[in-house]
Amino acid sequence: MDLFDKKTKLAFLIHSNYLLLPVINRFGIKLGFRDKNIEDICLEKNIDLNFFLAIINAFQNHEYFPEKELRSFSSELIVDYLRKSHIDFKKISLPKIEQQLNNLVEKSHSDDLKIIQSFYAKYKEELIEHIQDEEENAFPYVLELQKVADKKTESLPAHLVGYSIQSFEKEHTNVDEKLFDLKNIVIKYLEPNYQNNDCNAFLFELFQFERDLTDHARIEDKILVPKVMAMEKEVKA
Amino acid sequence: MSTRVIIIHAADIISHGLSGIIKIKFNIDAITIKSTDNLANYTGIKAQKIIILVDANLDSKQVSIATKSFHNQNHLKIILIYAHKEQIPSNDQVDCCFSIDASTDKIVEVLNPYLSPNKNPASKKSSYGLTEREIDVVKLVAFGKTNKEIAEELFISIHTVISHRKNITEKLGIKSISGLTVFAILNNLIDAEAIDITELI
Ligand SMILES: [Fe+2]
Ligand SMILES: [Fe+2]
Repeated sequence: MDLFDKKTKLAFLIHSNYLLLPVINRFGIKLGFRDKNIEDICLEKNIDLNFFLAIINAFQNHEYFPEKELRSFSSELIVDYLRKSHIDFKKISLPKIEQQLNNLVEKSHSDDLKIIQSFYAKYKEELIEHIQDEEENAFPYVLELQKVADKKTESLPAHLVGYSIQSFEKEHTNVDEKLFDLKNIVIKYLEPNYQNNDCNAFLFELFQFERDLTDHARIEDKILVPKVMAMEKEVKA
Repeated sequence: MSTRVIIIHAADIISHGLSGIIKIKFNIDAITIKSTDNLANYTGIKAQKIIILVDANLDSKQVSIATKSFHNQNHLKIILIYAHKEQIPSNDQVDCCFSIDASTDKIVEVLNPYLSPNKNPASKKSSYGLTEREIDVVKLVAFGKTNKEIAEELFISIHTVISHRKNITEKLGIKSISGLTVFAILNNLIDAEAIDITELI
């Protein structure tokens, strides 16, 4: 698959993959592109061109993941993007999934679906907790550490001394597994007494969310964490 | 999770035709009665869901009085069988309705959300390629037991428990503990009422 470059037209970008819409929204880009290309919009919106290209290309191609380049971007840039994704997950993706599921349960009178609803509730609770933890602990730590690495301050604030990114950034395995199970239980083990369209809509949302979330976790695990570990070494040296 | 169906209709040709469709499509034996008077004989039914299909010609007040005496009101659904569109009530006394002219497909479509086929635990047990032992392990995992507790209960080593769990996850495509609990409930391996769902899922 060809990579997008700065001359790629935004309209072409979305025609190639509409799942990129929420991704570009996070950069403050809205529809009605006319003939603008990526370079134009980045200039207009004051977006870091190379960061934008790296993010959309990594989202688009599973194989393409320029770890080294991505790690060269500043922590602020990466954390800002991750934070915006968190807001999307909480304000848009999860409520949409929930709405589809509630709709499905209401119309079908199936006990199976009610149990799936409790399972979803548990998943959501865990995910929100994970996100909250990153927002309150991991990200502030990263940003403070970056300041030290940039020599903007002498040392970490007292309450963060002695910590490392590994103590803050929790595993994604648990939440990933639950989302996988949720999908698979619906696909493999649901009694077929439901309304087709409603169930399809629910599954579509889940698949779409999983794609977005996988990309997000990959940026955290493969970019943010190694980058911060390198900074930790540098600061301690 | 059993479902009972009661058909109240004066015309045998309709109640018997309907009960035939319900038997073939949902594997449920319906009770057929001619008037609401006889309904009182069935109020003691112990089922998780009771679906009453009722003739629109019957006095709707009498129907609602008669159904009030059922024990589990929450799981009672009333479906109206009408001959003319004018018989469809404007209020929400009934859950849904269909015409006596409706095709089999249409009737099945209307009933489908209410009538999951009665599950047969014995036949479900051997599905998904799990061995008897693996099913034992799934049940205990679903009840929230640790590997150590499972090993003690089944008189096997922890090592064996772990290898069973690996095989289960591979066969079912379910990785998390709460996912396995959901699977066990959906397949009647454990009774949803016997566990605290909010705790275990
Ligand atoms: Fe995150
Ligand atoms: Fe995360």
